[in-house]
Amino acid sequence: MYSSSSAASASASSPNPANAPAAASPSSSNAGPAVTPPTLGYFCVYNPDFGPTDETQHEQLLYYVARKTVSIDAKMRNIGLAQGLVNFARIFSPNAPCDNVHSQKNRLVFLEAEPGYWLHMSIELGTTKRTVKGADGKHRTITEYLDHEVHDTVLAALLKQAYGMFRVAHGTMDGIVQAHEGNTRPLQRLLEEFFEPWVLGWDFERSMTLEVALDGISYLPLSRTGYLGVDRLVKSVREKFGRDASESEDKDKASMLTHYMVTFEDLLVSTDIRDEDMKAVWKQVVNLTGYEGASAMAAWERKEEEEAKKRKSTFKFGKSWSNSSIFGFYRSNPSTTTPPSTPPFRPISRVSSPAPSIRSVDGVTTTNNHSTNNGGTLSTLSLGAPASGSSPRPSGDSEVILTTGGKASVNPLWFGEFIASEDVDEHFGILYKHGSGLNLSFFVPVHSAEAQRLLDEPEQFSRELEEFLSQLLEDHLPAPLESTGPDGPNFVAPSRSVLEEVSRQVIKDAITARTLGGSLANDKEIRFLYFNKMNLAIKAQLGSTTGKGGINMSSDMALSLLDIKQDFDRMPDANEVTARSPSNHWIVGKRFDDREVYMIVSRKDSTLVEVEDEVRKLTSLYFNINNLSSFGSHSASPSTVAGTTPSLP
Amino acid sequence: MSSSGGSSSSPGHHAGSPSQLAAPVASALASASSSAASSTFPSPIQSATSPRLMPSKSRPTTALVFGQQSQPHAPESLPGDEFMLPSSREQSSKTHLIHPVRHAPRPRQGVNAVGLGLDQDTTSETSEDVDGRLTDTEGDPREGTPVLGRPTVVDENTAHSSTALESLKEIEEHDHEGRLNRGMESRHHAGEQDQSSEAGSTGSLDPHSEATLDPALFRDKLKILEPKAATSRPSSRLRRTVSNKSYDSDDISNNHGGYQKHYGDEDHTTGAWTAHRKHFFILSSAGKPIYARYGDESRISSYMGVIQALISFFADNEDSLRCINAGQHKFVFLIKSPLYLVAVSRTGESETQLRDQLGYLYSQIISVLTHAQMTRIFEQRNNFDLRGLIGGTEIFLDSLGKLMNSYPGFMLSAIQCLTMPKELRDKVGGVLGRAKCKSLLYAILLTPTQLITLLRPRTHSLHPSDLHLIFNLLSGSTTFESSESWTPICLPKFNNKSFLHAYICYIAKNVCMLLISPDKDSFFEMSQVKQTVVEGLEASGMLSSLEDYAAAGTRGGFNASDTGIPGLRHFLYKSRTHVQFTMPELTDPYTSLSAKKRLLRQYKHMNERMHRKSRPLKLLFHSSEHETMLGWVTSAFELYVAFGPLVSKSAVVLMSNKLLKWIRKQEDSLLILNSPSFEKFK
Repeated sequence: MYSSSSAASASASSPNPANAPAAASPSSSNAGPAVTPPTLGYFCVYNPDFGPTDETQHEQLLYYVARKTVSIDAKMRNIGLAQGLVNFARIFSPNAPCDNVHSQKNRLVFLEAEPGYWLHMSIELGTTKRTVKGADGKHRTITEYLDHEVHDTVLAALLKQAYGMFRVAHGTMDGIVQAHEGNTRPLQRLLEEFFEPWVLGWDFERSMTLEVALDGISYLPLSRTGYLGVDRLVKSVREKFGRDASESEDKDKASMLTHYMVTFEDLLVSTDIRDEDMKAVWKQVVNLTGYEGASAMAAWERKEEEEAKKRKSTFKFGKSWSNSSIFGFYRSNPSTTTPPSTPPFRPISRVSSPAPSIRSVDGVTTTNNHSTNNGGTLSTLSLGAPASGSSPRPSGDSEVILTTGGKASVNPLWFGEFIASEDVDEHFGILYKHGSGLNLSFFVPVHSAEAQRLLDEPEQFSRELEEFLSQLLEDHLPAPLESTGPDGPNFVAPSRSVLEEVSRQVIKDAITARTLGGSLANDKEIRFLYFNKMNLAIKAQLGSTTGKGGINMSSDMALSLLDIKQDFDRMPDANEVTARSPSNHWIVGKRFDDREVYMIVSRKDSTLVEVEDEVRKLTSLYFNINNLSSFGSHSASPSTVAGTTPSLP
Repeated sequence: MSSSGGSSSSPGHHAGSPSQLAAPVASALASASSSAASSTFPSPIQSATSPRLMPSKSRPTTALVFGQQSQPHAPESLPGDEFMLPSSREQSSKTHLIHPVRHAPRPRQGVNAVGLGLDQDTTSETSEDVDGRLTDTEGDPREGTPVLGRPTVVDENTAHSSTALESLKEIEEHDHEGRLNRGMESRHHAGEQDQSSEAGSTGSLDPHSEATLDPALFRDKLKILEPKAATSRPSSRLRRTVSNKSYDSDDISNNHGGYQKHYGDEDHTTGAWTAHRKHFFILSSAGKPIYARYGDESRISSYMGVIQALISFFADNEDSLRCINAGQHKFVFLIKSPLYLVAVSRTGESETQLRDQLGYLYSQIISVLTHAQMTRIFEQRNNFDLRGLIGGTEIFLDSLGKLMNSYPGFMLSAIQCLTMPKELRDKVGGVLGRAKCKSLLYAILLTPTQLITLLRPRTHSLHPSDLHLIFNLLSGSTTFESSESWTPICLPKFNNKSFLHAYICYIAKNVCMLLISPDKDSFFEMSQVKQTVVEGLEASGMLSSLEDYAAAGTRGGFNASDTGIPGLRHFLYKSRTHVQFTMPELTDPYTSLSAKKRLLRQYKHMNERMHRKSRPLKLLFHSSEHETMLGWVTSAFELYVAFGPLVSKSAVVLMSNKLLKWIRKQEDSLLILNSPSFEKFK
């Protein structure tokens, strides 16, 4: 926190910054501090390679948005400064370009998304205004800039995500420019379309969370039965359409459906898209299917309530140090909160999508849940619009609804074929959205011959797909593998289609997973987050259980978790960090190779050793349980599946 | 404090704006006159009466000059050494005054010797450090002149200064004039530098020697020498560098002479230069380079320009640039107008820690100049080249940079004490206390990194950061070991507006006595105090035990194994109430340099995490492949403990509690729990 004073003489009385958190600072008046949140100053995309001469310099600027309208000169000054900073940093750090710049009042963030193409934003730091009594007895207003409330880790992740989303929707920036023979106008237009509705809504106060920084993928952990069912389903579709295409059009043996992705609501079930693009494609699919924010939305709403609470009882770190033994705190004062009566399920989906939310296993019906027509008539509707307006939602070129239980649409998506390659190819994504929340997506490279057919007759293709899926009955499957699972009997029920059956199983798995998480989070004094770097699987139980007791994730706690993540990033050999905040929360980060577990234990009287026990309980529960062994299973990396099973020390 | 020295009848204000003066002439004159003055300086006492004696830069150099003990190994052929040696040898070998000029310790011989030396120098090729010394001793024409009664020189000087800088005169205070003169003069050098140090050295040398002989003649000569004198930027740097033995030998072999900065020659365009783990840059707010830790600061002025431009861009928007992060690198900016300080580091240290380090560098500069003087200079000319004024003290900036990497005291802002029995410490303190004299402000006994005892007035404690500067002074130069030194020093936390004066003398191996007085004339008084103390300590046999403890202390004082705690590798314990810390010797596995560095970095990381401004922590447990560490901060203490990597948490907790008990038990020998004040002994 830096303070600057509005009165010239106040600097003398401003708190001595060094070393003494408890140092007597000027007496704060009781007037509540006026707080402003951090806001976006400007966001821009530029490429210094364009417009080499003074006259054409403005061509470097590809996109610029700010709250206030500013002159082109001001814009150019800002990107001039940005380039100055980047170039200066490059002298000493030639290989790692400038990431961010801290100033007293602002934060500048940089991302060289593609060689020469920079995403750059400036954030005006949040402030608090306090009235203090100076040495001379006069009251002055001091503005403190809350530098520490804006975490670099999150900002870097935000820019990366923004670019990732752009790329999956439109391809690389350079590719766009190349496609237009060096003309940057189309790129500028695309950037504007993409960012305009979105960027100004970025909330730098609420997004300071570990979830954002890690930017993982929420997987649906599948049981073995569920996994096999999904796998079977995908295979049948690929065989059917892949073969069709290759036989009718070409001798090409390869399936025209080169990739697939299965999602359930906003959870990733399975995919074979390469790791680099998986996250962006997943997001885009979720976005297109209208489940975007199914869980995030709820999290935001929770946060909002929290904010309100927080304002009432502001929780201050660090003003006073308790002079007591760390190893046995407040034993006489056990926490009095009552445990919540129910586990904190992820709140039901509030997305205005046709998908039903899960209420019970048995109540699931998957047929004609929202059919508008029975006869397979086509109608073009736009997909369920995400309730949250904070995301870009590039619309597909064509959208087709098939009405028997699901709908399919075709959207262009860009992702790469080869690991570690910068190239991305345009694909058509055929999104089949089933009423249960299950989505099947298949991708066809745009330049393949099959794609042409798809483009020509999207309706027909979609109808074919829909028909195939709905008629894919049980007997297409080999006899049930094992009926050991609890759902064995259901699985063999002959009257349902495979699709329905798989959906049912998936829903079951989803509920199992949540119940498990819930049983852990049942201990309302513990919050945790699991992250697997390898497959980006993330599983979070961090939010507060609104209204049911337990701890609120204050922004300080969220930031403390980010601090630990930063430690891990900076110190590759660190494997555990446990910290105790002045408010006596324990904040734990543990790392086992690629897996990271973060925990907050708010049991104020617990000792370091007791916290250790909690961590051990959690990790052993999580990593030993069969159900979750496929945490983030995706067929492309069976090693990860195995990797999550061993028990931890 | 500053008022104590106000009585001077300063005749000459030489500090002129160079643009107005014929710069080289002026500077040469200044140096000439001052050298003349110094060489003829009759007695230390007289010199002492004149307040603006010691240009700060002359401090280290002068120590050199008379620190003849350090020179036996220096080639006898060095004329400078030769001329110096006689005087020191004649005198009792241990007493060398640091400011020969003003306090010329052996007045007559000294003067003669200097004169001789100068003569020889003019003919000598290897004159670099002689030159340095001489020029260093110059610079206070004012003191010299009245005493000397060398009207010609004085007149010359005054004439110049009065015409040149009327306004400067007015704001000038006695204390600063000498320095200003020096600064101006060296600015000329810097301004018109050419890298040929040879030419420079001869150029600047000649005048001096001439001056001692005949000022009038010298003036003539000067015209001839003028261009050369003006070219002596390198030599001017040398000149104010402290040279100790090793550096002396460098001088001869190397054009740069004087103190040879590490990597000083490194080309800033090479990867090796940019690859240094931590750079420090100091520049003026006008973008003039002042100091660079590596390389020649004058050659990287383009970078300085960029830094200055970046900073002012933010300033124009009423903002201030604080930190740039790029990969592993952190660029941290500290704006202390009229100075900008920048650290470029990939050591993993935090922004706050780097900024604190810049703060220490800034304090070091202040300790040479005083804040008041520096502000004044830049008010006069905002593109002033400060190198002239801090010249010779770069070695202390360098050593500070090193010390901050290896000594945890900076990060803890605490002082390490020599481990020794309380009884002995008290007795030593008693001897010190009884030797008090009127003008003694602080009496400090210390080893180069550890405090033995400190006596102070009841009302004035000494800030740790000031003490760090003192420690840095000792570790920055070995010349103090061989002489009695008397040097002005500004302790910024004590008073950043004026100088104190420090008497420095090693009374035994690794045991240094430091007496601080506000009175610049009190050298002999201080020397007397030291004598009394030494006698007192010797009589009771305490001196030898002090020496033993100091010897043990330089190794670390005690071992982690002394605590009897199994598995304990190392720890840092800081008493927040006493602002002191203690730590055991770095033993296996921390004997290799890289392991030491890693441990210290780890400590720094823990420290930073626990003291993060908005999110401090009470406790931090950190385990890595290399060690398991616990950090624990309460209002009374901070403890950082290192164990092996496989130690369990419960063991860590148990052992840490045990350790705390052990420390509590030993506290009175590990720390100074009640530092005595002088009043106690009255």
